[in-house]
Amino acid sequence: MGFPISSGLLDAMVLAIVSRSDTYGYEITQFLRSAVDVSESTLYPVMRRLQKSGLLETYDREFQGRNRRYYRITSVGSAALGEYKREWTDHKRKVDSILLGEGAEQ
Amino acid sequence: MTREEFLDALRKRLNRLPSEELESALDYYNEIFLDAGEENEQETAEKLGSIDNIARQIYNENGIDPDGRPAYMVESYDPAGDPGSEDPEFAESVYERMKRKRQERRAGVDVQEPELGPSVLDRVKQGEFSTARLVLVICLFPIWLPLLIVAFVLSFVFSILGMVLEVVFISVGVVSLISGVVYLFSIPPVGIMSLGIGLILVGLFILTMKAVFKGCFKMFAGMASATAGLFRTIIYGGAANG
Repeated sequence: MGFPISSGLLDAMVLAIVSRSDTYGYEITQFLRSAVDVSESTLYPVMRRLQKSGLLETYDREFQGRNRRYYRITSVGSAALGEYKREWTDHKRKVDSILLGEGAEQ
Repeated sequence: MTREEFLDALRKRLNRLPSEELESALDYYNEIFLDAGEENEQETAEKLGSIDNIARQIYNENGIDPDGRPAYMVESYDPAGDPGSEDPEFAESVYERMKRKRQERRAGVDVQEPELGPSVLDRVKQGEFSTARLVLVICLFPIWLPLLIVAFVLSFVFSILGMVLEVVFISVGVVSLISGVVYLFSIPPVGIMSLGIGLILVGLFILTMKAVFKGCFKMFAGMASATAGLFRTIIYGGAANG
């Protein structure tokens, strides 16, 4: 079955991918596919939202005679990613403590 | 479905999107097709899923209703809180009630005046009222006193109703005009309706104002003088004969 991915988590994963190196839409989806089941259609509104809220910015670079739109993380985006990572670590620890019985305080 | 077909269909479905947003979305999907490879167009189109779903997501993200309904139909719409929605019935019933009351009032005045009008005073002045008649008038007071009181109360009630109607006309009219101007920009049909109702009510107020105020004044003056005349008849008439 798999667990549904919240839009916050999707935002965080996209920010993480872009923060490693500037990349483009198709590649981002391929990366995400290795972890979660998302389509390009799901991703488009995410990319647009991150771009509009200033977490990502875009630039065009020529590739095989056409333009390819690259995404780059902004300083605001980096700060948001840091916050997401901190929250995720916290969340993961809590879920693990219940689901796997790991690190449960006695 | 090929890339071209997909993009054409998407462009058509996204026709209500601002052009900047539309081009951004089309660029994105165009790029997805190109990156996936020209030989995989059919497969890519299938993977992307239904164009309608894609369009709905994009519309929602942009705060536009995917089915093209105007904003006032989509937002949680509370008819009770909307001054325009209740007005037509209200205006109609007020108008009809006003017409009926006015007719009743007119009929009431016509009936009362011949009986209780200044004719009593005139007749006393002319010495028409004999002692026998006066005795009759006094003896019959259980009959005419209630009638007199009823006439007074009725005319009082009708006058108050008339005044209240005038106040309702002008206040509801002005409020409708103001809300009409306000709604004209957010919900045009409601705004226009509200403006229309406001104009009708203000018009009714102007048309009926003179008649109602004059009618009320006349009725009270008539009643007062008639009653005064009656009592004068009783007192003077009695003294003259005693």
